[in-house]
Amino acid sequence: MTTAQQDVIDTLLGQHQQVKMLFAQVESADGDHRQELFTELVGTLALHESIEQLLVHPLAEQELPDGDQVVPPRLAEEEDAKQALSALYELGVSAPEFEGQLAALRDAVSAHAEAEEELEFLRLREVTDPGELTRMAEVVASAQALLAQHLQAAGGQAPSPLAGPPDQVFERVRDLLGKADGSEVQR
Amino acid sequence: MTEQTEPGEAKQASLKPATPKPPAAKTSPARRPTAEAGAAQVAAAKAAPFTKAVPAKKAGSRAAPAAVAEALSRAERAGAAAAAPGGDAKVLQLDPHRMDKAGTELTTDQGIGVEDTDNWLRAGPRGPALLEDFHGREKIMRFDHERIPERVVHARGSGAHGYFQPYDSSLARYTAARFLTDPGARTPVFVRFSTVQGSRGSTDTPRDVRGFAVKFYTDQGNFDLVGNNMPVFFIQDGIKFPDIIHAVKPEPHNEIPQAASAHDTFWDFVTLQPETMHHVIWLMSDRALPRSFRTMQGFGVHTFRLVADDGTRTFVKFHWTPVAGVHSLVWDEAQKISGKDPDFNRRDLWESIEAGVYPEYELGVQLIAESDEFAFDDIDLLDSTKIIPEEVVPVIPVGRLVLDRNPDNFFAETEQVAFCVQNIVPGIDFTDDPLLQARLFSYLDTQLTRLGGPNFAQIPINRPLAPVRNHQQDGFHQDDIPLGQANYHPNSLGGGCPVVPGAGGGAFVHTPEHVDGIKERKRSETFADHYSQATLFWNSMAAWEKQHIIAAYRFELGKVEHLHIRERMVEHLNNIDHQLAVAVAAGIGVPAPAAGRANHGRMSPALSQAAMPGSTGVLGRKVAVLVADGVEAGSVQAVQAGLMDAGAVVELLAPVDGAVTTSSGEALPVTRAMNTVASVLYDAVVVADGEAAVDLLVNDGYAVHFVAEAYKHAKALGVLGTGDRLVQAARLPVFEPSDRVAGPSSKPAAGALDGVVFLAPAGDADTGFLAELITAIAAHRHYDRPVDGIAA
Repeated sequence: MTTAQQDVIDTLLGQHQQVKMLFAQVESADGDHRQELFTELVGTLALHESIEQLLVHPLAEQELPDGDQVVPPRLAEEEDAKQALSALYELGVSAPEFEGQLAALRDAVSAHAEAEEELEFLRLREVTDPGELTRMAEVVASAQALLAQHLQAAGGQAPSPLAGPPDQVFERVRDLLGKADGSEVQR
Repeated sequence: MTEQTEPGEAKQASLKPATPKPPAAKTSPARRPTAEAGAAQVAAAKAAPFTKAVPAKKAGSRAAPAAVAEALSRAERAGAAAAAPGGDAKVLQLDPHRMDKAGTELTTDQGIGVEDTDNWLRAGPRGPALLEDFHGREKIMRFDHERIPERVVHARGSGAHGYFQPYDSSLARYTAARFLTDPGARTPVFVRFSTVQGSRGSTDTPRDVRGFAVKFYTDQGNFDLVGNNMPVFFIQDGIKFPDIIHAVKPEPHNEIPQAASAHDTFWDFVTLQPETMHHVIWLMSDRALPRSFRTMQGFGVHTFRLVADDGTRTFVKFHWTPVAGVHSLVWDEAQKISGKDPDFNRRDLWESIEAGVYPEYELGVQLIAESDEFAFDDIDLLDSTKIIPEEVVPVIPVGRLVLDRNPDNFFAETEQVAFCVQNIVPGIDFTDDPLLQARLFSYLDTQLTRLGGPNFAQIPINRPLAPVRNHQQDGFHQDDIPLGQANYHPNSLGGGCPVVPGAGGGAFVHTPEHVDGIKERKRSETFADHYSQATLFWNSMAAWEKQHIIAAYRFELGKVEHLHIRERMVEHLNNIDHQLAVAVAAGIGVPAPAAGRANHGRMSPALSQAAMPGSTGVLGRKVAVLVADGVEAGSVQAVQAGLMDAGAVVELLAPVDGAVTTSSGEALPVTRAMNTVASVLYDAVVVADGEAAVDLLVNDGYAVHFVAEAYKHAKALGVLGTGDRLVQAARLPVFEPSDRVAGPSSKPAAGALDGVVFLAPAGDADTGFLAELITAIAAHRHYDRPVDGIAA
């Protein structure tokens, strides 16, 4: 056995922490570093939201008694966040308005994450077969590995799959995850 | 929690501006309105900001409810352990060696009375000193030789006596060690906590590994569990020990720096020896800055074996978990403590025990059947740079360690205690871990120089409670007087004694094992992965822990003069996690690396400190209450009494020592003057009410800085009535729209009020308010506050 034992909720909660950390890092960095960190942030959010949209939100909609009330607002927030990221990308990291808009997005994403954790994730654990959540974590892991392969294939040269306008990054990541194992990822 | 919302409904329903609820009647000042709907939603759900301080919430911990439940069950187990005899056996053994000077007369070492110890014997009051003065010569000779070599590593330490008691006999299936399986007996212990790098007189709070060494005086002989507060070690093979220690110690040409790993030789070495990477990321984490020895874990590091009566062997890893939770300082605070009170952790240990707040730890074991030795495809049990995640092999609680007595004499006990990894009792055995094997030699060897010869086991603190009989003899400082003619085995002149008990007679029997191998200097290929578990650790951290780790790498590498070493470290970090590497590079003038190997995405939530909030609340926590002339005594005294009832240590600090005059003209004694301490020495700060008092405090730079610094270090802050003017003077974002002079706040402004508890002016510090304050303090720290812009 490998020394891994986690479910997809662990994975997503860990990504929330990673996103929170990246926001703080982008904010305190300058110049090229800020650009690099922002690219990381976009890629991480793209991966994270794609996993949620392909796997966890559908599960929540199905399993939670109030799933049809809990999930749609989350999806809307995710769409808003994508738009806000695109706006930030358009602005460029050195624009004077960047910091203010980044802070607004950070607060929104933080609130979104907290709502997900309390209304969706931790409750899902109570009503879902643990084996199912663990299996999903494995699917995510293999999808991430696939994504990493693509990144390495890009060899650090432009265009990396995670560089460019956020809506395109989101789309590419979603495609990749879908391909990871179509039937499985699509539940 | 005062306003627990039902999932899904109340949250959705309360989309309105945040308004704090009573009992803290004060409206939260200038909470930054966020335009985003989602932010408002959660802000509303958190309408009573004071409830944010629940330990479970402090870190955005994924495992929070489970962690709290675990902490409570730990406390319950400890509470249920019945008192048992045996715990004071070592103390009784030491009694004849204790020398009480009360009511005695001064003598020489030969017992001869001393006429005068103030004047050397001289030929005339202004004449030459006479060699004949045996008392003078003896006194100076003894003084000249007071020092012994300090330990090569772990020189700086603090010790305490206590006992260990198993909860039950459940381990009897696995081990013949009675001290682990007899819940009806307490085994005396002596524990020594230490730093690694610094000299004996160095600070308690460097960024460093902490030693956690336990000597069990069992009835089957001494068992020394010589562990650390981190579960892995820098190197896999003990032959690298001199190298890693030379590299981390002060550099040889100028003996700089003291008690710090932030220098070129350490980072030069670790970047050339990548097996260090897992331990290094622990060292960069908050684990390296324990708030107290009471709030850090301990680990046996290696895989050991348990051996049952029937010979069944089981691999085991030992864990100590503090009931007070795992809590750390922040780095800025730790550095300041090094100046304000370099004995910070030693003092805390001493004062806690004196106050009856006994440090307590639960012993847990991870058990792996011998047949599962190769069951893990990604780790080797013999590799000390790896852990077995608790989620894979659970930690089973087996007993408790309580430290309830301070040493009588630092040198005689804490300095002379000699821990040896080789000290082991029947029922436990070693493994072939190559680091462990080297330690089996080193710990015995090092005592010879340090304690001046082979008889160090006869020093009272080192003497076992179990009887010692053998033919070892002579040597420096032989204290025993062996009787009889026979000093060899076998003998008939001594009646064949001491008799060899042999296997089955209660003797230690080395695990019979078939060994077959080619003699060569070669590291096992199963030890080759140096990054996966560093990644596991990183993935398991909360956001604030990640930020502290990034900041630590930046600080340490920022002190490294050679750029190529910084660059090499960034390459290693890129093998751990690309985003970590990018974030660190951004702080040290190194270009961000291209995407490296993929993060495996695995995590072990139990590794986050957020998973160990503890169950002892504010017990032993230090709270500073800032007061001055004109203070409203009522609320201060209510807070003082309430916190002390809950077990906290409360100190009233004023601009000068003595007493302050309250608003009603009474004298209120203060504990000490503010400038003799600093906020970094406390866990929380309360600002008193009273117009005149606050007028004085806002004009006192110490007081203003005290509040700003405590807030910056994420500590709980209680603000009584008009005391809020001091908070304003400190320019905390509690009142400001941003923590920055210009621009948006550095973190979610919603976090600005985390752990800040207000009481309305002239308000009653009632049980509701006290409960909020106690919850805020018990949460230890509130890391989501926007503090980047605070000058402190």
